[in-house]
Amino acid sequence: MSDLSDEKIREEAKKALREKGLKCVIGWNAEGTPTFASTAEEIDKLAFNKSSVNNLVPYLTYEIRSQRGKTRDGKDKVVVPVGIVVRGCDSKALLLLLNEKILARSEVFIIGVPCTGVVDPHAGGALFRKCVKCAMRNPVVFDVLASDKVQEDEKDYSEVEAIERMSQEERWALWEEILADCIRCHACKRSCPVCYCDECLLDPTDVAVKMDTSAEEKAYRPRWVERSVNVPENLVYHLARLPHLVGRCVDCGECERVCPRRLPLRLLTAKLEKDVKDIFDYEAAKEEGQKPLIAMSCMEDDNGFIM
Amino acid sequence: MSKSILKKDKVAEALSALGKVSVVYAPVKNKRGLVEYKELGKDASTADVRLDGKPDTPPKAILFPQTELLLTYKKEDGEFVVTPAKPDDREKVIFGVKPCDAIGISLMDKVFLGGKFTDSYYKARREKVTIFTIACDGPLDSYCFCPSTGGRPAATDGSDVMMYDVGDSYFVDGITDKGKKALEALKGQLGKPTAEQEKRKEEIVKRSESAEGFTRKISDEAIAKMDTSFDSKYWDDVARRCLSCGACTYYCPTCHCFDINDEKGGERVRTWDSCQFAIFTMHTSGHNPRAIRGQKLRNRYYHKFKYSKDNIGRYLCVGCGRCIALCPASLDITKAINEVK
Repeated sequence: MSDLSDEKIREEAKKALREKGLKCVIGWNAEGTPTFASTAEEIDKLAFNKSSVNNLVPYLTYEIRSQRGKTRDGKDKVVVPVGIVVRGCDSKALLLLLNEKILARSEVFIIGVPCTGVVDPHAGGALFRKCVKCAMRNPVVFDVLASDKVQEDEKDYSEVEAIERMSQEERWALWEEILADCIRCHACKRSCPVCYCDECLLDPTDVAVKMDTSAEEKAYRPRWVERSVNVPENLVYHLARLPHLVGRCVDCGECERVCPRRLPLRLLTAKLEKDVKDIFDYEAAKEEGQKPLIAMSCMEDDNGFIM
Repeated sequence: MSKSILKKDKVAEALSALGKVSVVYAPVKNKRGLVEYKELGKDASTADVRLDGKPDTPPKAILFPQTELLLTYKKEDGEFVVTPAKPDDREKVIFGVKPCDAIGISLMDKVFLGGKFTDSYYKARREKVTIFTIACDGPLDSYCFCPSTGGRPAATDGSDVMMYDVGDSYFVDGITDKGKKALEALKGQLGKPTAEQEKRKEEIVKRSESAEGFTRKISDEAIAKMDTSFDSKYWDDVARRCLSCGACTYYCPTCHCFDINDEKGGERVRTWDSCQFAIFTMHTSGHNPRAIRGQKLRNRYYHKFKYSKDNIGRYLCVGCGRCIALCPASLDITKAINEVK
């Protein structure tokens, strides 16, 4: 958080820009605004402080994937590597994308910043709830660290456990109230660092209409979520989002941070993470080269939740 | 009774009196700390009403609900029977509206009632709504920039009754016939203003005219530059950090785009739509004229500051600043337009 780490971020970013020919370095400026620095002058504006709230990984994915494609003679286009500044939680999401081979390690230059929490602008100077107790303060994948590692906490599942102790009726009442307040602005989905599909079943039309899509296909397009915004449809929206995050969500809390309705969405993602740990003894983005959970199913797995 | 005084400690009583003749909506703090308009007596009580500060959501949804049933249809003996839905047309008072939001409603009127076509669903609701506005005295927070968009802290456009905070009381002024009529229900609560109170009200109006205290601005020169910057690469640079969610549009007092779908059970439903969503402009051919973020965001800015000026003679932005306060990516419409290249 000191000026020292800002100096280090800038120094390393400039060096990588020069030596690795980076397209740009994605970081925050002193006000905490996401910034794309592609010159030494722009890099001098990079900073890390209590206002550095955004998880920048979705921008990285976009910057790299938008370069992909084929050249006229059918070869893969050359991807210019992109630099990024990541906190511990961001680095977990980035590691997941690397493990899923969505991004290649050679395409990214990672400046890690150990983090002691960032401030919730709606909470009058207090830390985000996710930052109060945090088990991922130190980046898990990086080329260079901008400051010394910091002390991490044990993962705190007390809020999830409190809900687990509730009766089914109490849980439904809780979620019914929360879901009634969702306006389906898609901010949670759009900001999620591990959501990267071009087509999404949660989009208003969930089939990509192409030149060769027949009239019949359009007419009978499966529509999983109606556009009506009400408790049942909002429930489908959130319940459809979650299974796609099993063993993938690192609980970075970006969905909860961006929610303009301030819905406690981490209650869902933390539960997901906890269940994956309890049932499959698996932790998303634990180490480099780790197989995805879905590629590791075996006969011994607990299937009590289905049978 | 058009010029009178409502003591602040009689506001709850006044809300109850209004509640006897109509449904009353007022800003209320919800469970998660957001202040938004709720129906009193149903979703909240008069004790929860919060008249200071800017409500987090505009009152748009009272007139233009996010989800609205237009008609139902079913097949009977081989014939389709169509039943149009009846909009909620109860008499309503929206109390404690901010001048920017009242202007927002007057702009939605231009869209839904002012053109070649009239939206009968909107009209049915709008005719029964009376707006009680509380004038601001300078910016409510650092996001406010109403003077740059043609508004003023004490602007009266769109309001039926204006209220001015003159200390321990509100100076109450009936603006429209509808407003004056609504004030008749408050005979028991309204009093006669003193010369001092009248003077204070005049001072608020004067300060409002000079638009003092606003640090956030959009310059006219920058807006003029938009005439020639449509094809500028600048928009792609601005939109580079846009996540293409719909938060800005859903919280905007004037964004009014909608979609109509036939849903299960034979219901035709109108819902809010957002120009930032992936398929907003998708053609059935598969071609999407606004496929990338820069094009989508540019469209929003041009709609607010160019197309609307050309079509309805006024910016379609009221300077409330909610889109700045709520943007997950810290995008700032004032900065984006001021720096247009």
